Amino acid sequence: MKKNDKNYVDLKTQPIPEGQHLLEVDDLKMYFHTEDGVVHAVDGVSYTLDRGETLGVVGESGSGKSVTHMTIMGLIPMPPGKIEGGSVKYRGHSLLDMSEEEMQHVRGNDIAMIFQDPMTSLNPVYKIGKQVGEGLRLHRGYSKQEALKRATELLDLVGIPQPEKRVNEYPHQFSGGMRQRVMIAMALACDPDILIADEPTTALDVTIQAQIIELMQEMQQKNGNAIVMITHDLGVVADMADKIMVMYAGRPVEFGTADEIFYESRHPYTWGLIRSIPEQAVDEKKPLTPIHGNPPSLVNLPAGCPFAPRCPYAQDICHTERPVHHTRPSGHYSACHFADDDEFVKKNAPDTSRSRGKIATGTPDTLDSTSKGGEA
Amino acid sequence: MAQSTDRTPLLKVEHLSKEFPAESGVFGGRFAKRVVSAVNDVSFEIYPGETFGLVGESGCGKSTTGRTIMRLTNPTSGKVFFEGRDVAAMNKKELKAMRRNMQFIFQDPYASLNPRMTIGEIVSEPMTIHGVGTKEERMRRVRELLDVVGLNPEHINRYPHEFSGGQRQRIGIARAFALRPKLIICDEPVSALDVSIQAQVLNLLKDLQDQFGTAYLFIAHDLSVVQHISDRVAVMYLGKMVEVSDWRTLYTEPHHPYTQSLLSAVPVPDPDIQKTRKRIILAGDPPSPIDPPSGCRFHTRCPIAQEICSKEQPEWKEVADGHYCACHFAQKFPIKESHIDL
Repeated sequence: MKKNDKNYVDLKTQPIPEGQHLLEVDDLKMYFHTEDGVVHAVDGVSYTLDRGETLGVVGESGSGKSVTHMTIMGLIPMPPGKIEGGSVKYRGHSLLDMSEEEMQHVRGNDIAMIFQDPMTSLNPVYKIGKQVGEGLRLHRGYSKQEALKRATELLDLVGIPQPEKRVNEYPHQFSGGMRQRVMIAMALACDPDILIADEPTTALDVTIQAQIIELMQEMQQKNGNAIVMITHDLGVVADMADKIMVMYAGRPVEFGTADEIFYESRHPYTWGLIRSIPEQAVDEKKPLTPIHGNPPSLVNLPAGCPFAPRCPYAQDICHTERPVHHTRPSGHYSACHFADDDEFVKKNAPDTSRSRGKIATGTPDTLDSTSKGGEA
Repeated sequence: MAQSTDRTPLLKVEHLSKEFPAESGVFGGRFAKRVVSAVNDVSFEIYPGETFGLVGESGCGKSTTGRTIMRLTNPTSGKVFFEGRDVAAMNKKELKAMRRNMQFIFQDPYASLNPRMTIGEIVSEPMTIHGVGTKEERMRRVRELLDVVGLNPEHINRYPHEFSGGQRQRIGIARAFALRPKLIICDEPVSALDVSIQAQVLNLLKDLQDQFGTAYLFIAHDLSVVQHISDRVAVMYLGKMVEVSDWRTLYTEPHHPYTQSLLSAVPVPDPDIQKTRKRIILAGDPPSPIDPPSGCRFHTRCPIAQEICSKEQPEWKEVADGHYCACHFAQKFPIKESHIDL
C-alpha cells in the first residue's frame, strides 16, 4: 500500500474547464492484440457525462460495455490491450496520459467502480471494516481507528443493520444483497465524483435489486455524483438513466437521453432489443420478435455495419460501408446509414407507450429533423 | 391452450416437502438436528399441453420442486403422480419408463452438455438409453430435431464448444424433445442468455409446444418471461407456494402481498411508466430456510403483517375460480398506498 502523497491535489476539487463536461470520452479505441488476431473490443466510443447525471450503458454480453469502462479506469493490462486512438478527459485532465501512480489517485478517490459479483470482488480473508476503510487510508491518510470508525458510519449509511458488529465480520457472513451494499459503501468511501457500476444488481433477486437501485439513487441525491450504470437490463436503465448508450460489437450504435432511446430511437438494433423483451401484456400475448442470428466475433468483424448481418433492413451499403454517427441537434446520435431518413424510422420503429398515444409527445408525424430532440 | 378444467391432470403434486440436513461434515449430516426446509407442503397440477410457470427468488425452492418431481432427489414427504402413478413409489425400471415422458432442460447451456460428445451423440442419447430405433433411424431423427430447433443438421458431428450459448440451449432443447415427452421441466432455460437470444429460445419453446402438445413446468425468476410463456403461474416464497392463478389474473389481480411486491419490484423498460408507478420495496433479505419464520413465512418482510401472521400458518384458500392464495388478508392488491411510506 502506497502512502499518501501530501502534495497531491484531488482532481475532483478542481474546476471543470469552461465549456467542458465532467467526463468526456471521445472516439475511444482499445484493441486486444492476441494470437488469433486483433480484437476490436472498444471501437470508437464517445459520450459526455455531468455531475448528478446517470448514464445507462446497455448491450449484450461481449458488446464492450464493461471493457470500455475498464479502459477508462486504466484496468486493462497493456499488452495485450492497446489504446488505438481517442481520448478520455476527466475535468479537463486526460486519463489516458496519466502514469500508473496518478491513476491510483484517481481510482477509488475520484472515480470508483462497483463490480457485478460481490463475492469475488471482496477479499475473503479480510474483515469488512478493513476493506471498506482501505480507500480512506490510502487516499486520505486516515489512521486505522479513523478508517474503522468511518467504515462503520458508511455501513450504517448503506442500510446494513448493526454496523458496529458487522465491520468485524468477514464477507462470507454477508448475504448477496448485503455484500453489494458493502461494495457500494466501499465505492462511496472517498466521496467519488463518478461511480461506475458494472451490472451491480445482475446477481441479485428482484426485491433486493429494487433496494440497491434505490440506495444508489439516494446516495446520488446526497452526494451529487455521476453514475455510469452498465447493464443488460433495459428495465434497470429505464428506471435510473438520464442518458443511454447502446453498444454493439464494441461500438456505440446509439446515444441519447432516456426518452430519445426509448421513444424516438433511430437505430434498428435498439428497436430489436426493445422488441425482444416480453411485454407486460394484460389482454393478449404477442409473440416476441427476436433478433435473428448471433453477435459477430470481434476478431473478424464484418465489413460495414457490424449489425448488418442480423439487421432486417440491411441494404447493400450496410455490408460495405461503416456508418458514421448521425448526430441530431440535441446530441442524440445513431450509427445507422438510414438514421436521418424519417420515413424509414417512422415505418420500422417499434410501437411505444407514447406512439400508441397514451402520452401525446413526439409521435412520428410531428417529427421533423430540426425541431425534434427534446430537452437533453 | 389453458382449457384445463375437466381434463385429467398429467402431473399431480400433493403436499410435497423436501428437507435437507443443515449440517455437513464427515457424517454427511446424518446426525443433524437442524434441517433446511427447501420445499414445504406444495400442491399443484399440470394439465396436458399447458405451461405451468413457477416463479420466485433464489432459494425459494422452485428448482428443488422440479428436481423432486423428476425424482432426481427423493421427497421427504408428499406424493407426485405422473399420469396417475406415484413417482415416489416407483422402482428403477418404472422410473426409467416414466422419464421417457418427462424430460429436463437445464439452466446452464455450458455445464449441461458433455464436452466430449458430438451434438449427434448428445441429442440421440435419450433414444439410445431407451432403445428407440436403429442407429440410422436415430441419426435421421437427430437431423430432424436439429432442423426443428433451428440448427444446421450438417453440424451433427460438431462438439458443444463450437456453439454459442443460445445454440447450446437449442441443443439441450433438441435432446429434451428427442423422445417426444409429455412433460418437460424447464429450469431457468433462458436466464443465462442475452435478451435477443432469449426471445429466440422462448419463441422456439412455444412453437415446439404448439407442434407436439408438450406440457411445460417452466421454472424462472424473471416474472416477465414467466408471464409471457405460461398459462398458469405459481409464486413461491421460502419453500411455500403463496399464490396460483392463470397468468392474467396473477398480474392484474394479485391477492398475496408477496406477489404484489414482486410485480412492483420488476423494472419496466419504459421510463414514462417507471416514473409514475409506485414501487413497494421490501425491507431486508429473505430469511434462512433453516428455522423458517413461524406462522406465515413471509411475515418478517410483509408490509401488512399483523399479529396473527407470526402465529398461524395461513390457509391455502380459493379466492376465485382456479385462483388460490395463502394469506390471512388475501384480497385484490392487498398492499394499499397507505402501507407504503414514500
